[in-house]
Amino acid sequence: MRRIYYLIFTFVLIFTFENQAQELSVNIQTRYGILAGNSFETGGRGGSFGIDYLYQLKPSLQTVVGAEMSLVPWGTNLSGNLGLKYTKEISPKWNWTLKVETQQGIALFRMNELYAWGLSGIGGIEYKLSPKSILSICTGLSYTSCPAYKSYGLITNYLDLPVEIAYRLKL
Amino acid sequence: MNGLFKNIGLFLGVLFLSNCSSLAEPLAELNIGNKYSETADWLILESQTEAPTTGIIFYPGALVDPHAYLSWLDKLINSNKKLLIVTVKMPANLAVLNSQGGMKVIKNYPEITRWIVAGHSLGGTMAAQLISKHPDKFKGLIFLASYPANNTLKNWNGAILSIHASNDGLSTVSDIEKHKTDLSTATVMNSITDFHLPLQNKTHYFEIMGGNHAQFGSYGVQKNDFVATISKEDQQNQVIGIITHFIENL
Repeated sequence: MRRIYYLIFTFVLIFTFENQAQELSVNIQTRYGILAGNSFETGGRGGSFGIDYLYQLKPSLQTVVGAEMSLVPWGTNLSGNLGLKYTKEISPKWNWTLKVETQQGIALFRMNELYAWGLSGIGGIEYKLSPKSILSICTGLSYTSCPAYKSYGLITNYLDLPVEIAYRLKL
Repeated sequence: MNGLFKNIGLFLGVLFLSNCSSLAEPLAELNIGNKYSETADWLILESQTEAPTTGIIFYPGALVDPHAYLSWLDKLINSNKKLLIVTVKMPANLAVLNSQGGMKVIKNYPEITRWIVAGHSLGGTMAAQLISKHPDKFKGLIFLASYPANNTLKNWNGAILSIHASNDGLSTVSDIEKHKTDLSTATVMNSITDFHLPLQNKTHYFEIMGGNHAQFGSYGVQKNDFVATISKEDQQNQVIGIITHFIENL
């Protein structure tokens, strides 16, 4: 039942903004580990695939609403994302960008999904491929936690360095 | 635009339904007595008192939480205090996404002189892939309800043990039978100590009567599996007994 609730929650968020939103972004992310629990531990640590809908609040500020599926050390997470994105133009073709986002969702376990959440802040550069399409590459920090997984494993949170490539389309 | 959202929803829905892993029993109920630690990549079990000389790299079954095997792996160390057992965590709990992950374990433990790789279900198939690429690094391979994807190990000179269960609905007895030609000379065991020495260049097969697919771990009932007529403890005790004798004779 909770599974259905989270799916509905995700899509209600997306459709709420459908008539006003201005951009659609598809992104893939790969993550390099920094901390596992309280231990410093480096190495490749999964990644994610996400779709964001961006709605302009101010000329340089957008809200971000999206959905994301990510591979994490305990398996797979499905989350709804909500955040803010700041963009500063540095030339007709190039932008600086900064995005902070929270992920609220579930770790996909059969019979008993577990609540999972995350927080990320990434920044990078954008290149305007055409008046309607933009390619970006960003990096930063990403924190992921699944508190209830402590009943099943010793590590329930990770801090990673993500590298995200996104393609954005103006609608 | 609505069509696009419908397609995205469908895509996420399919991903969602196909990526649910089975949770293990809670850690507190496992009563692990040996030294247990965990990293982002591995679950590590070893004796509290003795230094290990033989390492087992364990690959979990598909969409099964890796902690689901800790209970009997801990008891396996009670039977042989010289074992180090490293269960490799898999991306999305799918061993097919990290079949070579065991090599990192070997590099991390240079003091271990003898390595065995074991796997349940898809984990066993990927364990075979690991040995196919690094045949000289391993002395033994253990399949639990599993078989190789091809015949690249047919002429491998290591020892192979294949344990399967009569009531397995996923890796059925006929599946195991069909893949016997992909491995070295088959030897059917009549009891858990019935090994034909030397073990090298042979594949020993043991069928657990009344066991099923899911009882090789502790993660509840698995879809499409048959009903077991023996308890999980009974099945796992037989697994521990066979593997202990296999390692003693290796």
